[in-house]
Amino acid sequence: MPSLRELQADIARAVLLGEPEAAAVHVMADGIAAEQRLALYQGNVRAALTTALRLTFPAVERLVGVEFFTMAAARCLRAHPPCSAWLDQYGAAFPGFLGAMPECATLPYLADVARFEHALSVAAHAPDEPALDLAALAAVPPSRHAALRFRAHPSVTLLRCDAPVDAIADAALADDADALAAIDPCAGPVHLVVHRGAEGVVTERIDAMDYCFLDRLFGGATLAALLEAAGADAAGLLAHQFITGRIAGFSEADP
Amino acid sequence: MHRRSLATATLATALGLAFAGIAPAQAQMDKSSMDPKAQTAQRMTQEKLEKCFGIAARGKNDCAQGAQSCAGHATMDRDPASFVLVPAGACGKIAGGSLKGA
Repeated sequence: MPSLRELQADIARAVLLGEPEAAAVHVMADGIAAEQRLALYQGNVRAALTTALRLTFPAVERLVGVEFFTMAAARCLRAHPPCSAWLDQYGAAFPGFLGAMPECATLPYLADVARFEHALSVAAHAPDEPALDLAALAAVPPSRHAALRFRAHPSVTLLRCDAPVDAIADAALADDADALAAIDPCAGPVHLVVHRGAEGVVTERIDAMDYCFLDRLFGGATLAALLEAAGADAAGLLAHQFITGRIAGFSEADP
Repeated sequence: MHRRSLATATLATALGLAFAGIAPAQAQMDKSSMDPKAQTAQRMTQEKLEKCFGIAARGKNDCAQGAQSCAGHATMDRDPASFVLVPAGACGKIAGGSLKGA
């Protein structure tokens, strides 16, 4: 008699890896062979997880085609089985997996398009947080301003991609051949900030300098450290983050 | 002291702008709000519901419902290693997007 843990591990091998032998021993045949019964569950699980990836990465699917996407999803499932029953969370490993696939070496922008789509998904599904309390921030005594640190809203992702992934995703989803033909994947990096605001998920292109500022801001740098290398309009940039809801809170690190 | 006063001045300005709700446009906002990507994002926002296996809420956990159970099996169960596939979608339309031998 196996322990529950052993049985669960055997079932996981059957449905995630397609290795039903160990689990089949514990399945009653009753007209249908044990392996066939398990294969039904395997097919269901793989179909559900593949569709989950398809819904999170629609532009990637358009770019590589349905057949290739399905194959890539099946391989990714073996290498990175889900670690949560929440399907919206599945797929964090997919961009990196695509980037490492030899078949994708001719599409250097593909992994970054996937990273961008994953950021959209994270933004859509991130938990709600109360808005930044501006009055509380205004009440912080000036002597503590330099040590203030800000906390990004959980929906925020900052991306730096070598190709214009937002334009590529747009064109692929619109199936716009002219727009796709006009894209230069080597045009230089784009810097994007993705978050969920009052009107839903928003993507904004920013310049390299603002990217550096936001990278340190969302990374929890102190206000004094932020301003050491900030551009002329640090105040405007900071206010923009407050207004858009990308900053969810603040803390006073060292009084 | 300079660091301290700079922090205070910057924060005061930022708060002033934020209270007034008129932060200068730091960058061009994503142009159209109804492009396909935005629609995808919108859909994902609408789908923001509790989901887990066995509970058929709207959204991804619906995937396994319906025709998948048996019909899906035949196509899903091919051994990925047993056939060779190359990306063959819209990527072919991106000029210079396919860097040979990269």
